[in-house]
Amino acid sequence: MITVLDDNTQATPSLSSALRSEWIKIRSVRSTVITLGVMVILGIGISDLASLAGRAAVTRHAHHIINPVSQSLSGMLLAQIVIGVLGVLAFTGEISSNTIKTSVAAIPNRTVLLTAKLITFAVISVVVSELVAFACFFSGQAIMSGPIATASISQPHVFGAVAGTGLFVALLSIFALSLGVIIRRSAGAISAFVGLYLVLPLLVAPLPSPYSTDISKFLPFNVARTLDTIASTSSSTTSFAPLTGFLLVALYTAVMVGVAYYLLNSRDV
Amino acid sequence: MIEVKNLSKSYGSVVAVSNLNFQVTPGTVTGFLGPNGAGKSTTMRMIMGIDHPTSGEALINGRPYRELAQPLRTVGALLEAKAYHPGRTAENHLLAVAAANHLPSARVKEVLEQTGLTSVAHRRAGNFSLGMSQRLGIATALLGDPEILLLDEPVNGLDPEGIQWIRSLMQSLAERGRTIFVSSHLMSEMALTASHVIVIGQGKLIADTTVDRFIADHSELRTKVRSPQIQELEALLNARNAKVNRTDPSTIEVSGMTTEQIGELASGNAITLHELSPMVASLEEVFMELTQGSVEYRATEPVGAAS
Ligand SMILES: Nc1ncnc2c1ncn2[C@@H]1O[C@H](COP(=O)(O)OP(=O)(O)O)[C@@H](O)[C@H]1O
Ligand SMILES: [Mg+2]
Repeated sequence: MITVLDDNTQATPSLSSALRSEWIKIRSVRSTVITLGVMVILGIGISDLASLAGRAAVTRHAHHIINPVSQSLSGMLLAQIVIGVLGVLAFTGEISSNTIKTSVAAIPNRTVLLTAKLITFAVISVVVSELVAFACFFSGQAIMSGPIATASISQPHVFGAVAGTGLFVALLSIFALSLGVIIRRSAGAISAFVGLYLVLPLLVAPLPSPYSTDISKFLPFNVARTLDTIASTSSSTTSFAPLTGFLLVALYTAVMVGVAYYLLNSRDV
Repeated sequence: MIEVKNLSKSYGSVVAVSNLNFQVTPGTVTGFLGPNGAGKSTTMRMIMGIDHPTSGEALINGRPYRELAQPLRTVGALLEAKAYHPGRTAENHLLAVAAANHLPSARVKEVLEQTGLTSVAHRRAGNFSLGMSQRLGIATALLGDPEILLLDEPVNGLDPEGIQWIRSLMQSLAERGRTIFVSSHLMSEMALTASHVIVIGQGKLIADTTVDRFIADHSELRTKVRSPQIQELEALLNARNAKVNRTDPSTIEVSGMTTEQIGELASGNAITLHELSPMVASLEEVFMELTQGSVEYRATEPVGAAS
């Protein structure tokens, strides 16, 4: 018995069928699920260790001052790297395994294909990043409460700092996915992502005084530092206001996504 | 129906495909023959909209692949030995492909059965042997029950039983009016599966004809002659500019003269013959000759290019 396929010659493959396909792809690879698990465990684990360390420091030296919000979000840096790598692999894995040829044969409109991939990955990334951010915050406050005047989610700017940090992590993972489309090789794209995020700030820091801070504040790493503290909500000479910084990185990401669309359409796959 | 029009592709300075023109019609198995590096895979990738042509175009039923309403219903392709994520099971790979073209998931079960992969459907495809990978690739190609099947070296890595299976599959689909376009670098393989053949070398079209015609046109008739007076005969043949090749002390192979001419020459000079038999060139010989031709062509190209 052969299933009879109806001839619906209306339109080329739609975004909704592309989305369904991408969703099956992403959840059917065990390493994706494991990597997300690692991100959750590492993110929350490191954050909680930092909260414990903060609590210990304040207990020993009463004058020691810590910011309970940023202390509880310490693990987000590592979570960022993990989900960034996953973003890169979401595309480069298709290149290295030649799956991309099967994908393009099924969905020849590459704009539709990449849109489905970006949306699917973004949804997963936002959900998991926010989950980690809020879990870090609440568990961290619980760990530190007592010796430290901990933060409450209802205090001004606290919700924004936690949610904003999670959203920023997801945003940069989209940046990483675009890097994967542009560079195509897993190793190269992962190196580029880690280089831009972690190494570039180290290279800029030793520059002479005004240049160092003038350049630094444009780097995603330093924008991220303005988000998880609630100390400042306005810009200063050394950093942008959190929202300004977030929008700046959103602009970087939009440019990268645009380049990714252009290159995926114009190159051979 | 596949139409390739003035199709060319260069990768930097490497010319992979050069001004190809041909059509692949329904109802027959069309072989796509050429030595390794001839440009077969590149041509197939351009037909599938995966590589962009440098110039010219490839059309499916009159339209570029990317404009097809239901690509997998129209064309099924096997392009690479492995084109799936190693961490995904065979079934999930097929489910993802089916979803992309809105094909019912019942088709997944059917193609798994058809390709003999049902028992390994839930195993990670990364552990598959080359033969199983090829079967999964063919299952992917068959998913949309397509009217056109494009297979790039499908028998690579298949066991004899698998080769038999893919040959009869192609033939039965062709009999049902489907268009089958299958590449190989082995002439003998083509002779067993295809009835029409498109031959390329160095990215250029060498022949576009039936397999029988192709063999007839390109085989040079040779005659095997055995005689106790072989040296005498050899001298006579050489004097008439025939090509003579001594295979053992009393046997020669002659080309450039018909069997009849050789027989008459022998009787006219009172030479006793123990054997006089025409030889049909084997398929591989025909093909090797053409391959050599295209290599020679490359060697002489700078001279021609100067004009
Ligand atoms: N992606 C590519 N980049 C550079 N050169 C390529 C690429 N693909 C194929 N080629 C070159 O194009 C020529 C034709 O290759 P191919 O189409 O794979 O031949 P075939 O499939 O007939 O063996 C070869 O010289 C090959 O090296
Ligand atoms: Mg090839």
